[in-house]
Amino acid sequence: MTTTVPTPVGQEVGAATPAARAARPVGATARAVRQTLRRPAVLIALGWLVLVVVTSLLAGPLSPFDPLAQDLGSRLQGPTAAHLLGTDDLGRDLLSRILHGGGVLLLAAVVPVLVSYLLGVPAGLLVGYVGGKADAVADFVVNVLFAIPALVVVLAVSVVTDNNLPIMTVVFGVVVSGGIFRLVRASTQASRDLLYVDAARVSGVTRTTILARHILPNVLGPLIVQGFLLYSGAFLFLTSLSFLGLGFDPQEPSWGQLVFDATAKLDTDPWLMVPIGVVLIATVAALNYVGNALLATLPSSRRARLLTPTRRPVLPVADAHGTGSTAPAPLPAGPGGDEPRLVVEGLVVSFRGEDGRWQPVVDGVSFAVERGRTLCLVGESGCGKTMTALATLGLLPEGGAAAGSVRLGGQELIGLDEKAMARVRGSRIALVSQEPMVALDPCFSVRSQLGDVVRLHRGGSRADVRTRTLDLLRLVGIPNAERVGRSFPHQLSGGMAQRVCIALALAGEPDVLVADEPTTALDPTIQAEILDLLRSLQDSLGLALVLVTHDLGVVADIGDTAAVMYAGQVVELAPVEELLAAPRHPYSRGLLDAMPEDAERGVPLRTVPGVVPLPKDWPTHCRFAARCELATDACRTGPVPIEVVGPDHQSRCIRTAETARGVHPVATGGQS
Amino acid sequence: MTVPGTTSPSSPLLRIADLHVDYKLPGWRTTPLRAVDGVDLTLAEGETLGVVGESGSGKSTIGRALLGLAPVTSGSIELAGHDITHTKAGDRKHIASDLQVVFQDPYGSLNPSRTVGKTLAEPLEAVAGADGSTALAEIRGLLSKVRLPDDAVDRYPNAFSGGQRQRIAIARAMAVNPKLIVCDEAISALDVVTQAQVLNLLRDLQRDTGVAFLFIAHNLPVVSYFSDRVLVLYRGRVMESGPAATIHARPAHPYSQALRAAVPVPDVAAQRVLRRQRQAVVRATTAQARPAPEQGCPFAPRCPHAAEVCWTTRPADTPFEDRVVACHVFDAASGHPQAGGAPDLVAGELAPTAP
Repeated sequence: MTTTVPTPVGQEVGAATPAARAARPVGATARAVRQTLRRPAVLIALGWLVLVVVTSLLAGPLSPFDPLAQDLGSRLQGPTAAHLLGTDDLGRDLLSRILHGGGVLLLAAVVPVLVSYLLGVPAGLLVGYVGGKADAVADFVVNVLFAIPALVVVLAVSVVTDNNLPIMTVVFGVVVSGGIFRLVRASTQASRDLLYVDAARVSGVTRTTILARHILPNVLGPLIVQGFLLYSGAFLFLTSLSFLGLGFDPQEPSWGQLVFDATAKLDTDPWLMVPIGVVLIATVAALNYVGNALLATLPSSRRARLLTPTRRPVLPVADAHGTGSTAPAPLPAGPGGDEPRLVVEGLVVSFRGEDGRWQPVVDGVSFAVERGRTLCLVGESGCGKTMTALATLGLLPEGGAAAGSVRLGGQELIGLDEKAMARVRGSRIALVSQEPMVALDPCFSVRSQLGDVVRLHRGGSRADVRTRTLDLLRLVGIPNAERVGRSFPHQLSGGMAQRVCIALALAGEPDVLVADEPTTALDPTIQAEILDLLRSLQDSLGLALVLVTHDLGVVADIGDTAAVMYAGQVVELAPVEELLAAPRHPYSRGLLDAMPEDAERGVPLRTVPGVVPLPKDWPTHCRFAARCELATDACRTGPVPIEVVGPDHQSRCIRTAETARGVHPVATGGQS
Repeated sequence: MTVPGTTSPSSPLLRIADLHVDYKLPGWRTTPLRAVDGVDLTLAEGETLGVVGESGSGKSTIGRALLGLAPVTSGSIELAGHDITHTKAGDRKHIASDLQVVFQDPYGSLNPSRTVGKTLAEPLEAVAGADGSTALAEIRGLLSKVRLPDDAVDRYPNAFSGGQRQRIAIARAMAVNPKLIVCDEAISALDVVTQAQVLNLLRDLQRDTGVAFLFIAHNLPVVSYFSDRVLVLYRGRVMESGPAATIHARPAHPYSQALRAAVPVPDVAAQRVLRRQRQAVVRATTAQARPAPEQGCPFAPRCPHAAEVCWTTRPADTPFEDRVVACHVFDAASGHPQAGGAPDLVAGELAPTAP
């Protein structure tokens, strides 16, 4: 483990990157399939399959000889100019026999697949959706099916039906349909409780419609993959039958029969086995390979990406300043001229768009946090708060690049390589994320996860690590640390899990804690407890805290300074008391007005109309102008610089001077 | 028991009586989990009833039981005079035109592979039997009602932000002109500006159509801003119920007080007061608290006024001013040492009991 803290690569990321809003949704799976199909190995496998199918279809015209024509004069020849793959013991041309021998097999193998789909898909959908007794009965039937040896049954059928291939393939399909049934049932059960399925049920949509419309699409991906694997199994099974001389006309060539002929001559003429062996192995391998490559594209089997890519893209100099000027805004000077614990200056975070251009999502953000103080990053989703926080930790999601300056205790972090950054992370700056349950590994007990991190940062004997682990749990207000230490994340409540996450973050004794919406997912009373905990930790450990939130109540509770962000920029930076009592930027005022806490019942909330623009739609002039009550033509002429409007107070608005005099007009409850 | 303050004395739109919902836990011979434990409520036409509580309080389960998505163990649910207690969601064609839902997660509640138009057409087809062309006109009307552009019809949910998706979900619920919409944490996942926009939208829709809301959320100030009456729920039981304005201004039950003090206000000085308050109104953090008693009051482990009786006897629903409170302090006959101290408790002047 190179990092001590997990990173939330969540929806905010998607919402902030411009690529996430295509007009038509290209499903993640569809995209992955397309990528898979572009891989050379998959292309070769597919190419081989196409070749086999086409040559089998065109066997007649392509064959140089009649596959049944005997030429006893040229028996058991190796490859010659006349017989490219040689001849068998009756002098028949092997190439022609191989070309003719695949078609029936390839076609017959489709039947079991179709049969098991026809049985397994409807049954699996229905039983998975209904559950209960039907599920128990169906499960029993399928267990019986699984217990039946397919080969024995098909051999019996071949005896009874006088070697009737269609019947044999259908029976085989029935016997193997259990696998398809199980797959469909499991996927259905997983999607049965989706909210949009619930919504359809509430609307009285019929069961059949729900299954076809809302559930089947979720099952399709795994089904297609399973189809490939099932087909390859059926193909191999039928080849075995034809090897045994069953199911196929002994007069006509078939691949199994060719193998059988070659086996008889294996000691004297081993060449006979080579062509058919290669064809068979290549075909089955190609089928399985394509199936498995598709399987790897399914969301459930996708491997987790590396937390932090080993090589991070570097922003080109031309893009390193985002859309703004080259000079970052001046920072308020710290007391005594010392540099604050964490200084962020002119931070730019960009993602490379599909056209190759760098699109900033954080555009020249500057702030500083002193020891023992809290800075809150406030704003709506899509304003770049989370990206700013992650960039200070060097934890940007894949494809993101940061420029500007992040100084931690005087050390520049931007441009540090991953190895050096990993040393900084955890021991000097740590992260508490929004979803504590996602941040904890469900497979390990709290004690073992916490112990790992303690060992990483401090080392020491097992007893030392254990003591420190329990101390950390007590530090975050967990009285029965022994018992909680033994539990697994799913046994913890949300509040308890967040306390454990804070303990994890504190394990390396960092100076700076970055908390990304640490209480948003929690109940109010738990939120209050976590805020109290953070405050007491700050007092006892002197932590500098960067807290991302959209709740101005949380800001009032714990914040010292607040940076209000809008569309990637800081629009107002002020001491919290000043900001809440007399916001200078219209957006800050809008955020404050939207709080229902003290609103009069029955009166519409005063709020900001419209939505935050996407990064690609950011105007060059004031980005808030489109939603601003105070906007004039002057707001739409050029970029608005952030201005110092008071001690420690900055605002990015050309009418700041007027807002100071209380010109805040009533923002209406208007909607977009 | 009926919640006081009911606006319509005749027959209410919704009447839930003594509702119990148990969830079977996985495993052999496990004791079922009681998610809702004897809840009564009524809701008049055009009214908004707020249900507030924390996770595990059973507030969403009440909504799901009402919608037929959770099986009712005992009790009854009556909608517009019809008993729908055991009508499962699948057999609800006739109910669907009266009862709709807006879920919390705007990302999960819309099928990502269907256009907004198709999503909105679904309830129209299912309930009114409308076909594509007649539905389209209605859908455009719906979109303008929730203030989304016309061209949203042919776009997929991923083209919209969380707030816009929630409007689509609201439009879907409004499509069949229901009498009651269950808003199951409909605004909890939204940030504050979007939340305000959606609240305003819901209020406008209610004014225009007279729809009633069962408004489920965990934030007491938001619920009491938006609702006419409020039900405070804890571990499946109603702790306090009454007019929203009074519960917001002067929460009576110790749990309501804790809930009220927990939500921070955007004012530094006021928040400082509230912070002191929130430390006074609970005895222990959730991390420190003992498990709740089987009998008795579920809030006893965290309540600063807990006494012996709170651990052993379930508090009776006691009328207090214009509301009903399930707390021994409010019940003169409960045997609680502080019984009768209700006015002091509401004023925040009642001393804590000895732990």
